[in-house]
Amino acid sequence: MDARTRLIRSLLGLAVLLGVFFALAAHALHEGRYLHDEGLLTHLFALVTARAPAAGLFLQKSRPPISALYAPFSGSLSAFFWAHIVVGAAGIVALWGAARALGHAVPLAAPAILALSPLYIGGAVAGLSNTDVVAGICVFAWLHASDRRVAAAAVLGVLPWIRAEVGVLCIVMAVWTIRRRAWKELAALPAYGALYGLAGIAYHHDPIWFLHYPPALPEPMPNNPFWAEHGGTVGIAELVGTAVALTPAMPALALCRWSGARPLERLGLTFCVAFSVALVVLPAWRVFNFDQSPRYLLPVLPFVALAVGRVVGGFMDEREEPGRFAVPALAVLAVLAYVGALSARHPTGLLAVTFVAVALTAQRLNGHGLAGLLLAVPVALGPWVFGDGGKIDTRSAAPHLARMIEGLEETVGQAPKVVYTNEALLWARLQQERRLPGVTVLYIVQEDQRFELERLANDRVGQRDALWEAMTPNAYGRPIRPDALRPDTVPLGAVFALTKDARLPLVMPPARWDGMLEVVRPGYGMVISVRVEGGAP
Amino acid sequence: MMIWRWGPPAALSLVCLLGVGERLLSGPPITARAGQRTPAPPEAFALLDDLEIGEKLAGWTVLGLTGPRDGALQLDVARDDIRFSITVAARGAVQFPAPRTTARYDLYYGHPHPRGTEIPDNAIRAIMAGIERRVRRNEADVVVPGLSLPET
Repeated sequence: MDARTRLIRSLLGLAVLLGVFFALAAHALHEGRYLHDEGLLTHLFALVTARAPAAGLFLQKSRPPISALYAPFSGSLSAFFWAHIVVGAAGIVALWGAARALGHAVPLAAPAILALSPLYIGGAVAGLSNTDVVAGICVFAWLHASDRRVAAAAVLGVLPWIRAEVGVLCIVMAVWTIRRRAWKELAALPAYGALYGLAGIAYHHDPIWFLHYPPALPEPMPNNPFWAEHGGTVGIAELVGTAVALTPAMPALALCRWSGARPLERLGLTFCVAFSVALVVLPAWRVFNFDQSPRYLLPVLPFVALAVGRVVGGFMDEREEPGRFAVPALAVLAVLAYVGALSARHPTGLLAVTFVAVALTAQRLNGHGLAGLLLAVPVALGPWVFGDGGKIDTRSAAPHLARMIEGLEETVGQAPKVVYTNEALLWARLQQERRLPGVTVLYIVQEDQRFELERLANDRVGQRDALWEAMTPNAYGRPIRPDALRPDTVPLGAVFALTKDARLPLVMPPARWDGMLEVVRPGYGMVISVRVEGGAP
Repeated sequence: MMIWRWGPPAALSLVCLLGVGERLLSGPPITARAGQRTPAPPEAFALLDDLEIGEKLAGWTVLGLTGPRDGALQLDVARDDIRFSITVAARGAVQFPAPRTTARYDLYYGHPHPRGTEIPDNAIRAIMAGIERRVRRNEADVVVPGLSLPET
């Protein structure tokens, strides 16, 4: 087969892959399966940037690169979600380009792993910034593998302003470029940050504004009860669930050969180890305010896909043997997966290890095609079988939402009504399902949300006010600030749809609200109440 | 084809398959929540009108009563493979509007298992009403050590 025919076949395969990705995304979007508060936050920052561009762009927390990207689509939730899915698809194309440039025997394997990753599909549909950064890493990998290394470094330098934790990759890359004395790449790495920082001086009137107003809280809000409920440590079952939700091909990493990997792939694997350790271990000491959500680990996915893609290619073209320690490494993974399965609903991690072990057996019996197929099966089944551990589907993240809406319908009917809520998803779900058209949702801004916005925005140049003003028409509904929510500002008969949240007493202290609300529809983790007369003054 | 090449991964595959089979046959794990919590003292059972483990409440079996922890007792009930919990909390211990209240306690329900299971409304109403009656009958006379607002 000549190179041209190979390219055409590969392009056709890529087109099929993108078709599958779009079909899965469209189905999930239609079902509303991945409505997620972090995705709505991406939309909110894009909306704010569209309404108050300077205040939005020079708030590092707003993830300026993607807020600017999605601002034109922020007028409608649906347009925003589709724009986000298209960016996810662009990441798949870029990873295909990277795999080709790296000389993979099966260049479709890596993009297939990405396109069929349960977490990547869910994150793309949900609007999570985590998948934007994955797409950015794919572009970085493609540029780097194509020997456009300065451009690659420049792209990589943008990514910490989308997800701060990807700074780990920048550090790994910086060390690597210094070791190679690649000074142009090293200079390109902070280019975006330098330009952005310089541009922000004019707005903030502060030469070190980017330190005074960082992209994330250096430490959580003091006495935030949210953190009292989150231990900061994670169990083996959760880790295994996360790994296979990233990709069920994850155990195939045990088959990788370090010596067979290209420098970029080695850089990627080094990053995977450093990043995973940082995200799994650091929260135990409350370093950064990560909350152990599996989606934080998404940035490892492109490099895992490239590494496993090389393994699959090695299987298929019979040139490369798996690493010498493949069996012991798989055995260790099997033990971890079994321990995880003891407290998980389904032994999906162990199932994924089994597929890899059987594939390795087939390869050692010279059944190379069968081995490749056996690795492909769990990847293809991923969106249906291995997604549980991702925990980004609405049913896992907000199991009370459906019941809350039913309860509201029973309470409010079709009458025009104001509903106060601390549920970030309520407004968007009502919009998506076109239910309760007469209801105006007032979103109760939580104290730590207010703290974060005000800590990270500059009051002296009017940025805080500009942001609040830009959010006033719509931020998970019409936002109501903690200091504005008092019994005397809430009319009798107003409805409250509240989810159980340790932070709620900070904005609705029981001493002030005791007796002011009558429960009319109780439920799991949520309650619907009506403002009544009486209670403490 | 030498056995030392394919033997180890084949053996590992077999072990993994057996492990998957064993996990599937053993059914979903019963999370050890109740087992890890402290069993409730006799006063807690007295507060609930001398409730007994295994007793039926509206057709649901009492699995256990644990706590107090953070000013609350947790009562687990089950029917077939479905479980959920009733929480009896000292007033103000759980800062969230309570579906039912007595003079000194707030009553909640939650923790359906398997996660996301819808427990029939009539079962919840009946069990909650039953627990409320029991607590009302005894709350003036029974003091449960630790069942008060947590120290701040």
